[in-house]
Parts: sequence; structure tokens; C-alpha cells
Amino acid sequence: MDRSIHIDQDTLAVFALGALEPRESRRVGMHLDQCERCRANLKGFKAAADGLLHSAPPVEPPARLRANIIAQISKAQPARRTSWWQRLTNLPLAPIALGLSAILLALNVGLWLQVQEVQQLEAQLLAQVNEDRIAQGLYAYPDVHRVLIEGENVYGSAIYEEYLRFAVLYVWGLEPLPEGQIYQVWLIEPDGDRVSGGLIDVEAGEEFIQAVVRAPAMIKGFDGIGVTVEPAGGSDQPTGVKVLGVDL
Amino acid sequence: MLDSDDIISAIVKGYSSFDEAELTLLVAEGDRQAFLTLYDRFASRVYGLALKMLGDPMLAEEVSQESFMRLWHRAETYRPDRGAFSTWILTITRRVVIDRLRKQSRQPEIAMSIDEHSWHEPPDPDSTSESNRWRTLRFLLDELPEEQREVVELAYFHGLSQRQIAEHTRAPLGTVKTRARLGLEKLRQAWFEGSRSDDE
Ligand SMILES: [Zn+2]
Repeated sequence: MDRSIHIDQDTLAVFALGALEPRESRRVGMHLDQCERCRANLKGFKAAADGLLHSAPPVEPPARLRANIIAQISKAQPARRTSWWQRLTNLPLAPIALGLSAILLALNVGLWLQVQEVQQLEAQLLAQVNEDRIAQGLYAYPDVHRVLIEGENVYGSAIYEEYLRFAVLYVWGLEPLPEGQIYQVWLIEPDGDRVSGGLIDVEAGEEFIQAVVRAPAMIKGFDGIGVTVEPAGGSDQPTGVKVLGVDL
Repeated sequence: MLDSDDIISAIVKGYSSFDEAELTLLVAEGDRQAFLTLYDRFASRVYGLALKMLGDPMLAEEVSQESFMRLWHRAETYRPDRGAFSTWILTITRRVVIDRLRKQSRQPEIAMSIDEHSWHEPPDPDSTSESNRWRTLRFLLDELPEEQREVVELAYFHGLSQRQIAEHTRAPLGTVKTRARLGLEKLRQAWFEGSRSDDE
């Protein structure tokens, strides 16, 4: 390339501001594509120009803007999968949290009930929620997956929504462990790798535990969940005996 | 052992703990919650810029809506390695505004700077230490000599070409270009001095 025709500083500044006429802009762009020196010269101008984007003071837009955008994105992609959680987002959070609290509270009340009874209770609750219209989004609650837990002396279920980054385990029958040991949850990746989903400490007298398994990615990216017995503090990879498993 | 409060807070807080790169990935998959999280984080910046450029609240609202719809449809084009999300979404906003201005005035189309490419790593305007500096930049712009500020603003915020600015300000083209350079150089200098004093 002809080094004698580098782009002068004035022109680079105007280019960074986007104010060159199209033909000149194309000429400069082509030169920049091939010339490191001019690219380096442009750098500071471009950084200053980018800074201008941030020089406008933030102004709160009218609330209807958000509503209009929500309406538009709902129309925009009808074919896209929307989960119950995504549908919930149109609604104010407080009532949703209230609705979920009600269900979770009821699940706690259901501590002594068998799985079947809990399910019935949940169905009743859902019916109430629907009637109340407290949280319309919970209409979609059945989209949440429930799978049974498999284990020797434990039973219960795991509840998850594919697009969330956590699942909830409801387990009966996990024995308290001797000191120095703890239950550790593992998320099983399709290639068989395990990543920790957290620890579960079961205290004496606790027949039922409810634990949130935190995943590093959306649950739909995992094949299963397992729980093993590990040294207190947890392990990097499972080392102890497996006490339960869940196929997602 | 986690109780129901943890679950609720995970649900309520969940997305707000994600950074913009994670959120745009989710938006690209059609995740509306991620999209609205980004909206809530950046709506006032987008609307503020549109309002500054257009001076008309109704138009600024339309432009903001269009900018966020572009985010919804084209989230996958955001590249975190090329700069902060805020710069990306504000660049989109500026482009939408300037498209409108140019359509309205039936001006010949003017090529847009180099928004698509990026040959530098702009500092992250959203990190705490940087945000003050960007705010400083806002004041520095006001402090530029009037004729330099005018050129910078007409070009960057009103989408005029260098020749249109020359006409508008009745200055020779060469003078306009020099003012553009001086203006940006001052902003850049102030920026880097800011960086140095911050590091000390
Ligand atoms: Zn060159």
C-alpha cells in the first residue's frame, strides 16, 4: 500500500464523528482496513466519540414505553417458546412472590404429608390462585416439570423449569450424617461431567428437606441431578456414595 | 439447607445478578425476562440520549422503542469483547435517531462512522471507576470552545455531514475539520488525564 497517503488527523476526527460524506467515508474505511498506523491514530478519536454517547443525562422514560415494548415482543415472536416464568414477567413481581410464597408455605405445611397429598394440596392451591387472580402467571405453573427422585431409602420430587438456573428438591428420608460429612448435589452435564449444585445439611429430626439446587447454566442444559455423601465443605468432584438421583 | 425465602429471592433477584453479556445471550434465545432486565437497566440511558438528540419526548419514545426492538431481534450481534453493552445499545439508539433525522430532511445518506468495526477497546463506561469519568466527559463537552462543541454536536448528535456543518456554521470546510479534531482531542486528552489521575 502507498504509505504516502495516510489519512490526516482532521479527517480521522470527522470520520470518528460519522460526518464524512459517503464516498470519502468508504475511501477512509478501506484504508483503515489495511493500515495499522491510521487505525492507531483513529483509536483516541473513536474513544472520545463513544464517550459522547454517554454524555447525555439519563432520563426516565414514561411507563407506557415498557408496556408498549412488552406488547410488541409478545407479538414479535409467536413461535418462540415461552416458559411460565417468561410469561410471569409481564406481571408485577410482588403478587407473584406472594403467590409462590403461598405455595411454598403450603409445601412446608405439607411436611408430614405424603407426596400424593402434597400434589393434591398444590392442585388445590393452584385452583385458588387462579380464582383469586392474584398471580395470573401461575396459570402456567404446570409448565414446570416435576420428576420423581430415585434412591434407596429416599423419596420425593424435583421441580424445575428448563429456563431457570435452579431446581428445587423435596426429599423425604435423607438421614442426618455423622460429623465431618455432608450431602452434596451434583448437576450432570450431557458429557457426564458433574458440577456442584450446593450442599445439603440435614439436621436430626428433619424428615423432610427442601433444597434449592443452584446451576451454573439453565437447567435444560443438564441431564440429571445426583446427591452424594462428601466430606464437610464439599468436594470438587463426587467421591462418596450416591444416595439419590434425578433424571431431568 | 435453604428455605422458601431463598427460593423467592432467587426468583426475584435471579436475572439482576447476571451481567449484560449473559443477559444478551439469554435474549438471543428469546428470554423475555432477560430482555426486560436489560430494559430496566438501560431505558433511561437510551431515552436520555434520544431526547438529547431529538428534543422531542414523543419521538424519543418511538426511537427508544425501536432501539430496544433491535436488541430483541439482534441480541446475538452484541460482542462483549468489543466493548460495553451500554456503548452498543447507545450506538444503536444514535443510529436510529440519525436514520430518522436524515429521512425527515431528505438528506443524502451519510455513511455511519465505523460502528460495525471496532479497532480499539473502549473503556467500560459502566464499571464504577469509569462511570465518574464518563460523567466528567459530559461536563467537558460543555466546556469546549463554542465553535468546537458546535461542530462535534452537529456531527455526532444531529447527523450533519462535514459539508452541511460548513454551510450551517458558514465556516470553510477545512476549519470545520480542524474544529472537529481539536474538540475530540480535548475530550480524549481529558479522558486520558482522568485515567492517569485515577491510577495514582
Ligand atoms: Zn494509513
